[in-house]
Amino acid sequence: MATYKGIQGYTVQKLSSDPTASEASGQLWYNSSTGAFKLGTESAGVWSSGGGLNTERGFAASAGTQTATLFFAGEPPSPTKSDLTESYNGTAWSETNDLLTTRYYPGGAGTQTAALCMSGQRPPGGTNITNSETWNGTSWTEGNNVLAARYGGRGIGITTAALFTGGEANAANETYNGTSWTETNDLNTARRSGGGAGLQSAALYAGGNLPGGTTGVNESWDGTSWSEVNNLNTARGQCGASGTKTLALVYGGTPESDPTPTSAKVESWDGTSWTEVADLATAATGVSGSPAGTAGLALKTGGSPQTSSQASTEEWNDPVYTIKTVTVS
Amino acid sequence: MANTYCTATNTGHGFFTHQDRNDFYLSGHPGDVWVVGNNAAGVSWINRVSGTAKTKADAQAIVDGKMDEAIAAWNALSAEEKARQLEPVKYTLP
Repeated sequence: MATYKGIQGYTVQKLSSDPTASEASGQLWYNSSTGAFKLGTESAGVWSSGGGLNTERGFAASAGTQTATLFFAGEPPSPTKSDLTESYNGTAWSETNDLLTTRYYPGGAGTQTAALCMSGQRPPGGTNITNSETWNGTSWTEGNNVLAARYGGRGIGITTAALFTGGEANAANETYNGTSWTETNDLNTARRSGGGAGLQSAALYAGGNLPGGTTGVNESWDGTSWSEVNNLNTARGQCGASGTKTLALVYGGTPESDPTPTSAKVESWDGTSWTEVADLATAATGVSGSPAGTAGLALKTGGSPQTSSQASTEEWNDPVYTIKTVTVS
Repeated sequence: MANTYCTATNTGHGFFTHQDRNDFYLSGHPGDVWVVGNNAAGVSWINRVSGTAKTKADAQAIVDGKMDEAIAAWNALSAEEKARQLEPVKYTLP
């Protein structure tokens, strides 16, 4: 009987345990412990379910990555809970110390252990506030206020180098150096609740809500000024975002043209243009993203009261690495 | 028939996986309604999550009921709150 080595000139590698799924991509091996041939594959990005929030809500803010996230403020069924903060470890959410000032529609930036929460509206009544708070991994501390009170502004960057961009009918753009806020060059199009990604020195702000509608306008920040680049395929506001100025992901939101006020659509930015990729499982608006995450590893959190996903999260992986067992005869 | 329908509670991590999303169509809707691609993997998922099978009409009725609640809640908002959030709209399940 001919052997595989006799035919091909080489053998299939023998391993006592499987490598990680990402290491295994494109590899074929024999697992001597389980007596099975294995194949590592790689497929396009999709969303899977993440851990459920303890308190369902939307119009909140977040900081961090897919597996280490802080989610704070928001509009739950009771406005008295809009100071809640929850922390995610990649599997489950746990409640932690509350914000000092109750609010919804704030901006958020930073990481799970060093975050910023800025401006927003204070319920009831929806008064715009300038308060800015800093999270040190344990508790929130009041910091210097932002210069322009507004709701729906997006935070970008880290606690020592952040941007606070846009807001309802507002093009304001402020930078933060870890201590104080400084007004800098405005957005070209005033809007709120778009998808913000990147750093203080290189950022992207895609889509957003205009008074009475949404837009697909997309602007790129070079550290000094905003310039218009190619629009989203689907105009939307109140969406989530992750990534950088050159590789970003925008997900969910309120679309302009869809008959329903929520969207499951997801778009990927390659630095030049947007491409539609796999949908969220559940359409959602008023969602938060993972601002320190990447375009390949993202987290969608929460949603508005009109959606079915207020407490749910979804995790984006692109590519998806899988180890498959090969059937042999 | 392209899709099947069920109700199931999203239990969080692992409720649907990347592999599930590659193997069958899945979309979630108000009232814990799930529209599931009608293939072997989809049927297996419904069993795995202890889903309760529904007809399309029953699933639509659950979603409509939840949307009625959402519309009533939206109608009770102040004018300023309504300006921030679009009015919920009933829609037809795929």
